[in-house]
Amino acid sequence: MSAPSVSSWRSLTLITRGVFIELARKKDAYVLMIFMMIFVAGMLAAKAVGIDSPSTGTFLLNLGISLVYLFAHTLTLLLAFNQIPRELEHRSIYPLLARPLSRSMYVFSKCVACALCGMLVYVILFVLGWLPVPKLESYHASTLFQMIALHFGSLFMISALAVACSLFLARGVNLVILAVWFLFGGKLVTFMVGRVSSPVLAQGASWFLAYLPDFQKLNLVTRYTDGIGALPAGVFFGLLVYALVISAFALAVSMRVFERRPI
Amino acid sequence: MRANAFLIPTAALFLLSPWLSLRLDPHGYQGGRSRDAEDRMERNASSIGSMLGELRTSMSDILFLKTERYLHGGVAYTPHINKKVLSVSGTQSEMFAHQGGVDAPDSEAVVMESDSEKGTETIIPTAADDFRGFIGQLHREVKPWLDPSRHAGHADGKEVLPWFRVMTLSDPHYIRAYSVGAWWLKTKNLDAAFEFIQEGIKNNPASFQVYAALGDLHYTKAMNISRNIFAPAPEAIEQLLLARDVFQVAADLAIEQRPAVVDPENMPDRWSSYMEDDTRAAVNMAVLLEREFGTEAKTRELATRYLRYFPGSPTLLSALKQARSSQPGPGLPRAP
Repeated sequence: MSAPSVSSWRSLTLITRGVFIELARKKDAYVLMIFMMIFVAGMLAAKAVGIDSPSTGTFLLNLGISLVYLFAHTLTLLLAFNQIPRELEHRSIYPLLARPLSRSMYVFSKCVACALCGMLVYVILFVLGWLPVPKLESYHASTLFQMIALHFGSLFMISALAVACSLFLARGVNLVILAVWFLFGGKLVTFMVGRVSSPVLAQGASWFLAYLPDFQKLNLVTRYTDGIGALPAGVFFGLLVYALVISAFALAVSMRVFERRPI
Repeated sequence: MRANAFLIPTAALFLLSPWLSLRLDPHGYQGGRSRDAEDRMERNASSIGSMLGELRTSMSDILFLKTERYLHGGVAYTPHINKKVLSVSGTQSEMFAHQGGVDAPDSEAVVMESDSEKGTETIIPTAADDFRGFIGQLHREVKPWLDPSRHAGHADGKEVLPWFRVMTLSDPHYIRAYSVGAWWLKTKNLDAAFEFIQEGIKNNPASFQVYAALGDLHYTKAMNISRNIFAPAPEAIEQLLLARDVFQVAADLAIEQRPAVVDPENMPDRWSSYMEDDTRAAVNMAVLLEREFGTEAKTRELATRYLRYFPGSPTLLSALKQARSSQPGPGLPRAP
């Protein structure tokens, strides 16, 4: 007699719940929260003493949101890179797949669960990093909305990439490569293209290097704190599609690889 | 969920993703507080900026501090640029004076700071102001430090050039880095300066300040060819004509971006006083070079058009008057 099949939605909610519980038990999350609280305390002290100029207020706002962006991505990466390797190592994957749950659905659910956890952390940190900072200059609400939406896309992208790379790379290598790429990827690409002297080669290099995911494109923190208006709708949706395409491809590759992989 | 059915369409989309990625640049906007020299000056001078030390809002902030430190032989001073140098044109003229005229291409000289800058506070305080006692003494011994009464010598700028390169690689829309970097570069290698500013134009085609910097390079090249600018050689005239055309592009772009009403007492949010200074500089150069090397009709047309934006400008009024009376200007001789 075979076990009753688990619906896609049910498996997604079950795995998401598991990842949420893991997040709540993770020490890294509390460490990042302490760092954020240090920022909030510093912010409140600066407010009490008095902020010298509007540009300093903008600087603090930029710092606050940048910390939120950095911490949420760090936590999502720390959560996602170890999901499948740890379950394989502890053999806890067998009861899950025996439900029965397809391997593809398992990988998909893990990726979505990590991204949702990252988004939850982002929202909590955002309240801490944005709310207490005095807004001394003018900022566009529409840019703020776009920034948050693209950050969510970026969290989904890092989660999908971390899950995909965990199937090919050793854990430490995966973590280091993705962390370095997340922090400096865009700059490295600009630097590499800048070193190519021939215009034709530079065009080819730009095209080839554009296959590497660029998190900087999805980060509008400086645009928001610069007081620049919202992106045109075409560019904004283009960026969302970009995040979606990269994430979907990483996810599709990991599903395919995991289906064929002997466990 | 079928992995294969999912993989083929996503792979196809992924193969096309560079087409999308290369067309999307959310950071390619003009201006912005993070790139604004006056805002940067305020941030770096604020108490919070001092507390954070070298941790700043952006990589370009950090690199900006690096260029200052390199110019002062490693001694860390509190930021001490004045408002005059916030405009690119102001920076260029001020830097020439600030460096004591170190402008010869092969000069390795280190000149002493002008007296006006003596007394600028160092980041590491003097013994009299330092509560740390022995630790402070140790800090002053192990780090490059000089008594503020003796402001450090200025290097000739060669050391800062790599930082401008890194600044523009890190942020290809950092216009000031292109303009000021080209100014430094032209003192060492004029061809490299042209290449650098052309890259700036490619990355920032709407920036009038980068075009103005290119005009300045053509003008410098003409000066290098003919030291006596009152009798320029044909090659120098060629460069002056190029400078004229580029300054006109810069002036037109600036006028296009300039708000309709500019009140010097209350500057609009997106248009600072130093952008206004750079616009004036571009407009004046465009008209003066047209007067000397172009046609009277075009000079009249340009001066009349620009006077609508800068009514009462002595340079424009004088150019218009001379063009009407067909008198050659006081500066350069009329081109053949």
